[in-house]
Amino acid sequence: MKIYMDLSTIMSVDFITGIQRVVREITVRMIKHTEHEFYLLLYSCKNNCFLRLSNERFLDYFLEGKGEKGRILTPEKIGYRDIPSGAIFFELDGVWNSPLKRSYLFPILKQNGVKIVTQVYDLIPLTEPQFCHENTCANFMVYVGANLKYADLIITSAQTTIDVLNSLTDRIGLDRKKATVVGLSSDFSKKNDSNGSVDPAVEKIAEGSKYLLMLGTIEPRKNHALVIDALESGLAKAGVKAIFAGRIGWNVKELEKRIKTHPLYNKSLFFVEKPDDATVDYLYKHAFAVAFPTFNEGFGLPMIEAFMRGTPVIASDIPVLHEVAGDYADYFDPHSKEDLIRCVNELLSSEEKYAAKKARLKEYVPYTWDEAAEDMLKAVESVNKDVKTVPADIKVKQLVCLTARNDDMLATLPFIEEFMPFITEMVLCCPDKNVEELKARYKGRLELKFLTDSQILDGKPLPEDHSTRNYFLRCLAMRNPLIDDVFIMTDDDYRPLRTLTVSDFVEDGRYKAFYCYDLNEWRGTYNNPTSFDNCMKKSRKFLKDNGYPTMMYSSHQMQMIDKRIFNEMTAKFPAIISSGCCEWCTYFNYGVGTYPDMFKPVPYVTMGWPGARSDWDVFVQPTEFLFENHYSCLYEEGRVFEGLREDFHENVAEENQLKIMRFTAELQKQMESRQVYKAYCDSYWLQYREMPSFALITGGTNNGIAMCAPLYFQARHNGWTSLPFVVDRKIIDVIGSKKIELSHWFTDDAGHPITPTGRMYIDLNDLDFLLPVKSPDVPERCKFNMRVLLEDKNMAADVSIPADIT
Amino acid sequence: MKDIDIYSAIYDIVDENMNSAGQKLRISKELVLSTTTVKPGKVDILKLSRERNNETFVKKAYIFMLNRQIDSYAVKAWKPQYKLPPDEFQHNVVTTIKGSQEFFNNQVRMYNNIYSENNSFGGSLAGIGRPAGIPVSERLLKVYRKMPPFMKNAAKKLLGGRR
Repeated sequence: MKIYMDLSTIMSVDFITGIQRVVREITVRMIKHTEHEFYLLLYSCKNNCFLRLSNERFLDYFLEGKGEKGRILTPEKIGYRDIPSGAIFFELDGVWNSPLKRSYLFPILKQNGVKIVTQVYDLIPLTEPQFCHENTCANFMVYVGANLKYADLIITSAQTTIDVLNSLTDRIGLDRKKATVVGLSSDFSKKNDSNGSVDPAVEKIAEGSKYLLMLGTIEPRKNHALVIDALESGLAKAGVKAIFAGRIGWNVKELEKRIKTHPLYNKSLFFVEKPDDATVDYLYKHAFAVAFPTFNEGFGLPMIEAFMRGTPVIASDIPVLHEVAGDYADYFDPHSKEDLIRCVNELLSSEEKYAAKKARLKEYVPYTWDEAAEDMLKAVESVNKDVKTVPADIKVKQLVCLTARNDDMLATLPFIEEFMPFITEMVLCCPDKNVEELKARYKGRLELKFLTDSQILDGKPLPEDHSTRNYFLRCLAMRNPLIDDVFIMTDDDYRPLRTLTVSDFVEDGRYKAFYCYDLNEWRGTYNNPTSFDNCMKKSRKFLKDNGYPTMMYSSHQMQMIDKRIFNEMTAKFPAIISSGCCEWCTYFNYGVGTYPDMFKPVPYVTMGWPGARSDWDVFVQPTEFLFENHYSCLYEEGRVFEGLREDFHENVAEENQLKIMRFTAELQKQMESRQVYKAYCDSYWLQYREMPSFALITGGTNNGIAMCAPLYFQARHNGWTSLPFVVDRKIIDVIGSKKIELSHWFTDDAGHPITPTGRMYIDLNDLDFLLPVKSPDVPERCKFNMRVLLEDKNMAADVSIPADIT
Repeated sequence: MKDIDIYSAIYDIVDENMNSAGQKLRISKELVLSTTTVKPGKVDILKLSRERNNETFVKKAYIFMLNRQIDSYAVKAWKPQYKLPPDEFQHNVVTTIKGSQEFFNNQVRMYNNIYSENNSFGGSLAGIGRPAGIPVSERLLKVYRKMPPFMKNAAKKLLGGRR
């Protein structure tokens, strides 16, 4: 199992208290489990990805105290989408203040079928926000919200926190999260923890005195003021001292001033700032009692640390502390100094009773970090246990195709016969009029079965829009008993390129879900929205509205479908049938979201999608090609498959290899153009600290229009660059029309055009798109010109910038 | 339930808890919700500029450009400029933050900086809106190029200063 952990906070702070201690103790133990692969990560803002930490050097530094923290980092970059399907993202560190918001990260992880397990230490910034910095509160709201939506398991250190979590989900109207308790410990693992020398000044304060110890960050929630009040009200006179040990936290300026200017300061009241571990150990061992007047906690580690050293604890009478300390501690009302004094007086009243209390603490059996780490790992592993998977011996014999084009279907069938030997049956969903011709002309080995439009529709009208019609028909066909529970869905122009087996569609007990894009990133066919683009938009809206991942699975290739899951989806969302959504996108995202253990999202394997470099920008590069999305136009003169045969013939397997080589070379050119564009962006950013951007904006006193462009442009010669172009929304108010013409061209130094003018009519419904720019055929220095002209409005925006064609 | 509705509901609960403690949550719901849309390492100034309230703009600018809520010192520093026209105020905020060490350290990539002096019109929105010229042929341009400067100026004035 691959387990990823973002440890950015522990790697960036210079102290190890509270949460950092837990992160350290659990991590150093967990990563020794060699049956799992642990990826320790640090978020890199500069690279907008994770950087991997070295497990060995992490252990050296955090367990052995050897080496330097900075050397734990390795150069290995891990993108958010690189975390693979089936992996677990384990949130142990307190990362709510990270610039990488979980509201952004978690949906991406879920698109890939990654499971999320989060350790929630407490929910205090939500339940008692007055005790937290407002930045922490704001970030914590987003952090918890993302976890309530996306986490597969929440681990807490106390049942009390689960109870609070449940009341939160109940109130919001969400399903309760799966949650479990794993306690925390206090034994030290770092070799030097208790072996160093104790601060002599501290020894001098502590020696022979009865002191109450308060250990931890000084912050309002910890309620240090109550102990000072109690000192003033009699405890000091009774010979009791108080030692506050920790670092100064947030919003305690007044308290700090009160402590340091108090008449009892350095007489009965002491402050030990940032004590080392040896001093902490000494203070615990010699304390009369540990005072814990906190208003709220996630666990209460100082209590356990005191018990382990045989030191009595007096603590706030709140549920979480009762749960953790039971009857080993004495309790008082954290709002009453009198009650605190009562509690201390009880310990002072009888030396015998006090000795008996200390003696009883010897019976205290601590929960060790070893046990905590083991239990934590078991909890993490549990999300991948007893999960529903696809049977290893699954049998699939049926291909289902929606077609209205007999010629295309008949041309494709021989490829299926040749390369898909396990397919014996073909269900053709087609118009009634097509059936007889198909029957007459097909002489191959496949058993053809027909589901005609009239059989499928059963009197229902057929929608006019292409995508809506397809989805409607597929949904209805899926209910027909003629179709197997598990089959392979295809279109009449998806052709296999080599021999395929069932294992090309199922892997590790999961249906492969081949994606080609993220719907959130899909910009359509260069500002020329088609029925397909609208279909993608509708699908994205449906998926986002219902909380499912949003990958684009319309990869123009065959994919395996479990119709039980498809029908479950349409039963759950009946309106979707006539919504014009994409069947591939809705089904697979529903599947990945609902049954993450049955689906494995993987990059698509289609050649010819997109057909041409200028069609749209590739989002994910196929790792191999198993299918051809057949476009006749690609076989025309000057196109990628010029001179090759479209039809099936006896040397088709060899020729397919040639096709793959040609298409790969074409794709490579696109990738090279992208690399040049990326290098240009990086270099521009380093130079000007901003990205080169092209935008049409409006402003000024006349409400005019202008082209916002960088100081220069770079592109690869004879390449297509997908240039992000943005149109200011306010433009619509200014020009009062929905469409404008954008033209671009390259000129030489003398101002003569060296490329044809590219023209695009910008649909102002789509204000953020990619402009396909074809660069000159040869490398040279020239000028890149863009122009928007609105003659009827007497307005123009144009720009001419130096261009370096490499 | 949509993600945004979850964040919104959590904000309401926290706000209520803060009120119960006799205090007020100073950060607005709009700002908290805007943090959920932050793409790490990226900020689009054109999108940000749609916020026309100066006080809200500067708070959002801190979230999107510096990955954090605005601090009290910054609020105090920007407050005297709240009455400036939005374009001028936004220009000042974006330019100041862009020049800061913190922005440099955060390595956030800035897109569509309409206030940048490095863009084609030098970041001065006030200059936008010159009238468009009449498109002229290459032949006429050749004639224009041979003109003495005073004639060029007259032609520019006549044709609107554009090609």
